[in-house]
Amino acid sequence: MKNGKIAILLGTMCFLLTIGIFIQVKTVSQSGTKVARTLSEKELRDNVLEMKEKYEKQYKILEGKEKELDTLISSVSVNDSSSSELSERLDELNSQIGLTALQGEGIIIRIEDAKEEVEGVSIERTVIHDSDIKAIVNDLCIAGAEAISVNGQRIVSTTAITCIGNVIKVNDEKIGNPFEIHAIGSKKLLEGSVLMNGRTLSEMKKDGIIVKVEASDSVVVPRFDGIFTKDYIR
Amino acid sequence: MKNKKVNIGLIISITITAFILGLTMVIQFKTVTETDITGIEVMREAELRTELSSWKSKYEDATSKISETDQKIADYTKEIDENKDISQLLANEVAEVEKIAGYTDVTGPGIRVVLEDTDKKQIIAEELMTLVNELKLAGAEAISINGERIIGLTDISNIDYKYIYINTASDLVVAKIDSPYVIEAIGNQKYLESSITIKYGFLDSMAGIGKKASYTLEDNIMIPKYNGTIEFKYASEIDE
Repeated sequence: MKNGKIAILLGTMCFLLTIGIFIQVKTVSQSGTKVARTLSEKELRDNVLEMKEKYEKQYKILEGKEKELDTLISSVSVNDSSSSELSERLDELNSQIGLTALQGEGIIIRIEDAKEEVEGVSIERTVIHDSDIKAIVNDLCIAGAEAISVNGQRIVSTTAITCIGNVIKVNDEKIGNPFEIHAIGSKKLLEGSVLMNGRTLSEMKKDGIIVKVEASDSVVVPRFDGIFTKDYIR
Repeated sequence: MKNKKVNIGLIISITITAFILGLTMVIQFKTVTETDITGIEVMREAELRTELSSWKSKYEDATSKISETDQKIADYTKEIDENKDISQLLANEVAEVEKIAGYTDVTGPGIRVVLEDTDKKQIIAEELMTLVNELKLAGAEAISINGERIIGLTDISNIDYKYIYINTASDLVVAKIDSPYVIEAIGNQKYLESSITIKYGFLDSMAGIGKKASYTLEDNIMIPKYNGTIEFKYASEIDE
């Protein structure tokens, strides 16, 4: 009778052990795939960097060719009034679409995630989101900004401001906190528009976001260093 | 005496079993947390893949732009060598850049999205802005809202909570628009469509808050030119 009981107990123990081992085996095989995945993620990350570098090299070549073309055109059009007019128009257009660096009166906005929590404000609102950047850019446009850049990225007609995870992207380039927005235009109008009660910046201030707005007589906005495609428009 | 020995043996074996069971449970807990991480990693992997393909297509754009520029250099050189007038070539180029700047009507394949006010829900400027942003991200080459061309620094705002205004900065072209809002974009139809139909994307979020939105793919969309001019009163070029 006693022996029987012990046998049953041992049997149960064996069963439980088997289950334990089974689970362990599963865990091992899973951590195996984890290693593989991390490796492929690292590879992917390298691929992204490589492709980005490749693009940047290609873009440098393109810039060189465009300069060559420019020199060629201006060398000829100096002596020809109709082509010099057209060449001037071309320069003007390129400047309007964002292909030249600009300088002038304007404002510089510096914003930074809140350093400490504000009572009654959810943590989510103490960090800067892509929608905040979009809204500030819109407020600047309302006040007639002539050129805007966000952390060195020029806002042009094809610019999208998005976020992936917790990284904000402008022109497909990742930018991070703190943010510096440059805008050229009437500094009085620009400042008034962004600081107006109820607009984005004043709301952000209430949430503890650090906001500094500086009016200046010489704000620099860099050129757009990307490509406008014309694959679909006719 | 014999009974006690059995009991001690039993206690020891039960202790060992309990220990092993405890260990198994710890392993199990770890497995569960690891599974969560794996989920995040899969997400990250998808992001990385999108990023990779976006740089790749930029690289391809740069490559084709290089050969385009090479061709232009050859064309100009030829005209110059033959002592011909280059103004025709320049005029063509001006026309091309005017398309990008928004100074000419353009046509092409694309998407038409219609957003409508209902008795209960009104479309707001922010939603139009979000949609325009999504379409730009999908590579739209030209966009209009109710026939108003969207250019680089177009603003979209609710000033009086009745109408939505576009291009308020320019007295010349400020437009007051009202429901139904028709947003048209020219570009790769597949990209444009998936940019708004993606799960948890624009159309999902509109449906989620009970707002009316629909779209159609159109093979021949016409987007009118921007009627204003971009003039720099404050900005001047920096010589490089």
